[in-house]
Amino acid sequence: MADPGQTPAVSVRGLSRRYSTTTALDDVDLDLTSGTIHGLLGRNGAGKSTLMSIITGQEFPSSGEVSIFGQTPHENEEVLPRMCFIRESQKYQDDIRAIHAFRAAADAFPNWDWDVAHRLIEEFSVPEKTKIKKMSHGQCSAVGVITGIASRADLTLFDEPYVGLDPVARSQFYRALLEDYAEHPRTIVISSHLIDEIAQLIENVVLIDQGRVLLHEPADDLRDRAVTLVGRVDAVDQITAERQVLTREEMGRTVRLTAEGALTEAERQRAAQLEVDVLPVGLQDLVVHLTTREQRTAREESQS
Amino acid sequence: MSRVVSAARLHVLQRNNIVTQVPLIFGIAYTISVLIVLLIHVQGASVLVGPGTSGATGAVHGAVIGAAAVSSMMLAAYSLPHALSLSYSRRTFLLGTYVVFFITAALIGVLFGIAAALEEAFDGYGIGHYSVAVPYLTGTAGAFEVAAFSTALALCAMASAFLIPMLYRRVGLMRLWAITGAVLVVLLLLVAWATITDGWAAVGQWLLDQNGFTWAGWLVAATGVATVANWLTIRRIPAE
Repeated sequence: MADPGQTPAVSVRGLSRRYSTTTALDDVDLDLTSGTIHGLLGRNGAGKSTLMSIITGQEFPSSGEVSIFGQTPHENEEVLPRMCFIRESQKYQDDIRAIHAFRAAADAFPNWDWDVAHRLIEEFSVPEKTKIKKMSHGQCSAVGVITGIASRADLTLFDEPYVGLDPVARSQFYRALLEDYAEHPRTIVISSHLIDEIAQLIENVVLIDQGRVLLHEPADDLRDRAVTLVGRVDAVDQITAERQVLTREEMGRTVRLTAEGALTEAERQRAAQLEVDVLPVGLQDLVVHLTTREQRTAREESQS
Repeated sequence: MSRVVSAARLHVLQRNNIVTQVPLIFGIAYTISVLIVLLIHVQGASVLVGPGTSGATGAVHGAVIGAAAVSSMMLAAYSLPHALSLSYSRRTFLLGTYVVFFITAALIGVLFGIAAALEEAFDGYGIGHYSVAVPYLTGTAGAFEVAAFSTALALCAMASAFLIPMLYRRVGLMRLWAITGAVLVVLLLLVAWATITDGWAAVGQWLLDQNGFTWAGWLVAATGVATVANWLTIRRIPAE
C-alpha cells in the first residue's frame, strides 16, 4: 500500500516538455507527498495532462527527471503496477465491454479490489455488458473512476475524471474516493476544472499555468492567500493600500476588491468600523485570480 | 500472474479476438476452396488429376495470412493506449502481444498441417483438392513441413503488420508514407538490379531450391527483423 513515510511519492526536477511550437511544461520542480490527495489545477493547456502523462511513464520529457517512489517510471515494471492513471477520455480496445475493462484492470493492478468494483458498478449503474463505445460519456467516465478507485494503486491519478457525469454521480465519486482513501490511504492526484467541487477533497493544491507551477501549498494555507472586500471605494482602498490587488470591480461608489494575503486583526476591526464586508475567497476564485494575474503580467511584459 | 501473461490476456478479453478469428477465417476459406473444387469436379472437368494441380493453391494461405495481418494491425492500433493506461510497460505489452502471436501462429500451423495431412490421406478428398498439400511444401516432410511453413508465415505476417500502426503512431502519416516509399524504391532497385544483371533465372532457381522448412527459416529471420523494428518503434511511443 501507500508509503506513509516522508519520501515523496512523486518528485520532479527541471522537467520540460516541448512540442514543435509549444512548451507544455517549462522547467517544473515538484514534490508530491505520499498519502495525500493533491489537486492539480490550472486552465486548459496549462500542462496538467502532460505532467500526469510523464509522471506515469506514458509520455516522455524533453528534459528533466521524474522519480516515483524513488524510481524512474519509464519502462519500469517495479513501479508501474503501483500507478493508475485515468484519463478524461480513456481509450479502450475496440468492442470491449465494461466487464472486460474491469477484468483487464484486475489483471493489471495487484491491489485491485473486486468488492469495491462491484459496489461502485452498482452505485454508478454501469451496464457491464454494454460495449464501451456504445456507452454515454458519463458511463464511460464511470468505468474510469471505478477502475481508478478499485485499483487501489499507491499512486492514482485522475485527469478530469468527471466529464459527462451528472452532479449525483460526481457526488458519488467524491464520496467513494474519500471513503476508500480513508480506509486505504494512498497518494491521489486529481486534475479538475470543477475546483469548488473538489475543494473539500484535496489536501494539497498545485496550480499550473503555462507549463509552470504557480502555486504549491496545503489547501488549508490557501485560505489566507487572499481576501475579498466589499464596501465604499475610499474605505476599501484605505484598508488595501499596501496590498497586491488581484481583481477590482467598481459599481458606482461601491467596490468589490480581492487582494492578496489575510487581514490582520487590526485590519479586520478597521474594516468593521468602515462598514466594509470581508469575505473569504473560494479556491476557484483564487485560482482564477492568480492565473488571470499571470496572464496580465505576461501581456504587460510583452507590450513593454 | 505474470505481467506478460496479463498483457497477453488483454488481447483475448473478448470472444472475438485474433486467436479465435483467424481459425474461423481458415475454416471459411478452406470450405469455400473445397466447394469450388467440388463444383468443378461435379461439372466433370478433367483438369484435376493429382497433387498440386487443383488451382486453389495459395488461396487459403492468402485469406488466413491476410486475416492475421489485419487482426494484428487492429490489435496494435487499439490495444496500446489501453495497455499503457493499465500501467503496462511498452516492453511488457510487446512481449504479451508476441505471446498471442505465437499462440495464433501455432494454431494456424496446426490447422494447415491437419488440412495437408487430410488432403494427402484422402487423395484430395477424392476430388483432387490440394490447396494446402502442394508438392512445393510437402516434398521434405509432408504435413509437418506445411505446418512449419504456415506457422512461420503467420508469425511473420503478424509481426510485420503490427509495425505499420506503430510507425503511424510514432512518426505520423507523412513520415509513414515516406518510409513506405523508401521501401518500395529499395524493392524496385532490387528488381532493376536483377533485370540488368540477367539475374531472374538465378532468382527463379533459388526459389525452386527452397522448401517449406527453408522458407520457415527465412520467415523466422524476417520476423526477427520485424520484432527489432517493432521494439525500436514502440519503446518511445506516447500513450495518446
